[in-house]
Amino acid sequence: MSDDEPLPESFDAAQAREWLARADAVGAAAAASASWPAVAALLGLGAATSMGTMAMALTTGAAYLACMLAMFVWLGVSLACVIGFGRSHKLGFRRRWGGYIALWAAAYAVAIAIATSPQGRGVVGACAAAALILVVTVGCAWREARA
Amino acid sequence: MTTVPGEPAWQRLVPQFAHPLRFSIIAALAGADSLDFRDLRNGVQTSDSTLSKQLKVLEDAGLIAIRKSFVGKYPRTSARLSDAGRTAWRTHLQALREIAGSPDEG
Repeated sequence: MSDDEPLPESFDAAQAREWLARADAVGAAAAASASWPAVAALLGLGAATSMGTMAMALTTGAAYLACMLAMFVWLGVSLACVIGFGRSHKLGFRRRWGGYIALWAAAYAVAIAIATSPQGRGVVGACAAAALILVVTVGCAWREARA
Repeated sequence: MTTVPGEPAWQRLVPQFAHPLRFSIIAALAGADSLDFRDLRNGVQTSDSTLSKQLKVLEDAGLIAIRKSFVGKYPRTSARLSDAGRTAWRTHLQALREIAGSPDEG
């Protein structure tokens, strides 16, 4: 590619449209490549904690401990995904990420409260608690993918 | 960057963005807080050396900021638009839109 710059006067309408289309395409591709680690991490976070919440409500003893161990492994994988692959960030990502984590934490706290209540220690209560986390984290991942 | 009333749109085009690769670099950075060197290189589909050279031109013009850091033992370079660069990009895009919308202009 040459270092020569075309004179600005040389731009006509067709060229301008071509450059604008290129700007849109390159910008969209860059944004998409920057968002996937956060989207993957949010989905991993949601999957791990919703399944963990179900385990909390439906299992006891060694089964419960095994489920919690698996959940923490998946939380670690999700965190590593953000740290290892999240080298680039979409415009406004840091502000949105704080919001996503706050929403997830609030949903998880409510889900734990449901799962540990007498009404929550059944299949329906456990599913409701897990569904709450699922809806929140998938919503956050969707929002980030579309941002 | 100021706009003079009645000034033709082409006069508001930013010369540094007339270069195709620099235009693509800025277009990629415009949608991001920051982009990693590798992601940027893959996005604009060029070589490391060519990208480095054009990033230096844009940095020297004050249009982007380069950040070098280490993650563990590994160097990591990222780039972002400076405030001046973001303003210049908006001006450039607006001028292009005006040219695109009025075939007699430019």
